[in-house]
Amino acid sequence: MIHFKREGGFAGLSTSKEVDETDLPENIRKLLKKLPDVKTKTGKSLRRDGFKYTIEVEVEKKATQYIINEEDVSEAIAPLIEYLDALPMKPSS
Amino acid sequence: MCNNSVFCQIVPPFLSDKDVKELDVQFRERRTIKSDLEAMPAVAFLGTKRVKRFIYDCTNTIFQQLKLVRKEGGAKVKDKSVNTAYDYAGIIRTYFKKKLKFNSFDGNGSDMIFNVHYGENYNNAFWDGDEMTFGDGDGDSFLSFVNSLDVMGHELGHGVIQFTANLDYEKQPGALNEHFADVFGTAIKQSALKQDAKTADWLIGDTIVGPNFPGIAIRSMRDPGTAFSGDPQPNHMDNFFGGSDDHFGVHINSGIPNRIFYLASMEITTQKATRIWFDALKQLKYNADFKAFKKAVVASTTKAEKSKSVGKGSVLKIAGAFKSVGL
Repeated sequence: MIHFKREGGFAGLSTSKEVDETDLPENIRKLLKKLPDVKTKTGKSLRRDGFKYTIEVEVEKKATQYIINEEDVSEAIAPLIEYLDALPMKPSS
Repeated sequence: MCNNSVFCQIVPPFLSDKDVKELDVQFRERRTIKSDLEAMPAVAFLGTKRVKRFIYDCTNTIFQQLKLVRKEGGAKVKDKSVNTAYDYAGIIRTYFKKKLKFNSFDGNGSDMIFNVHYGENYNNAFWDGDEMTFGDGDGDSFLSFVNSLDVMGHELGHGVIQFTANLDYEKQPGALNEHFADVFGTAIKQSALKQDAKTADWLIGDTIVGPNFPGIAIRSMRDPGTAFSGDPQPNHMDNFFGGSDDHFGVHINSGIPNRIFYLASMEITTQKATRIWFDALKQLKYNADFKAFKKAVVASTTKAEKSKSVGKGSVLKIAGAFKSVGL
């Protein structure tokens, strides 16, 4: 299972989405493997009102979480975030 | 597949493959340098340098400073967003210089850079260390973020904050960072519309919400928590947000100081309150919490009362505004 969360932005709103990994298109699923390579810039970020993304990949009850600031989104993983962000909202529990 | 996309890019037709590669390298190098910058407090608050405006079109990509479409003194262009950004930038520049004696975002007359048409259907605007960037919105929840003087004033306000107190961007200092940006946004809007505290709507982002946005604005400074259905802003310390979302609630808990500013403005006028707030901002440390904020505002009001720039009894009125939200 993939849990996706976007927070921050000018409005400061949080949205959560989730999707089964097997439901992802092949090209998007491949991008999950690139998440460990995302480099976070050192030093204090000066971006204000930017988005922050959290992607949690859960495989056999073991979850790995990746937190990515908008300015650290590389072109390599941009399509993954774009895809997850466009998913329908998770129903509120 | 580029529906509702933030990142998908259309390479502008005037750029060759080589140009795109070089641009990408330059862009990433510049971003790295920017993220390593430690902002220095401004020393001179009113440089004599003439601040120039530069408006760039991102052409719906995520490249900033891609195509210069209008610069200082340049004629109007066909693109409405470009002209709006240029005109609003002029109003904001004049406000800071004339009303707050602060030249540009750094107090030292640096040029102002605005990027418009960022991303595709991008529902956001941000300050990035030395420039501002605005999305067009998706036309559904949000319209163009350029279409709001308070939003543009807010973003440039983040620059002013960076070069004065340089407040942290999480927890209470972060909420104050967002609060001061809203103060600048509403003060500039009220000044431009010739409004005062009693006639203003105190809304932030009311002109950028789209037809399917569930409310009238992004924030209400008068009544935090009422701008839209599900608005999470508290208006009192009793409802302080203690979660970790949004950098520990920077856009959420800013509702508390926003309410204080509204109450203070009702007592002494928005323009006088803004001057006091700006004076307080220059005294704050990067890690200031709400308690330190209160101390600085009360000290600045005391100074203003002594110099007779505000009426007798103003200190008590301002302290009362803090007390009414539980501070």
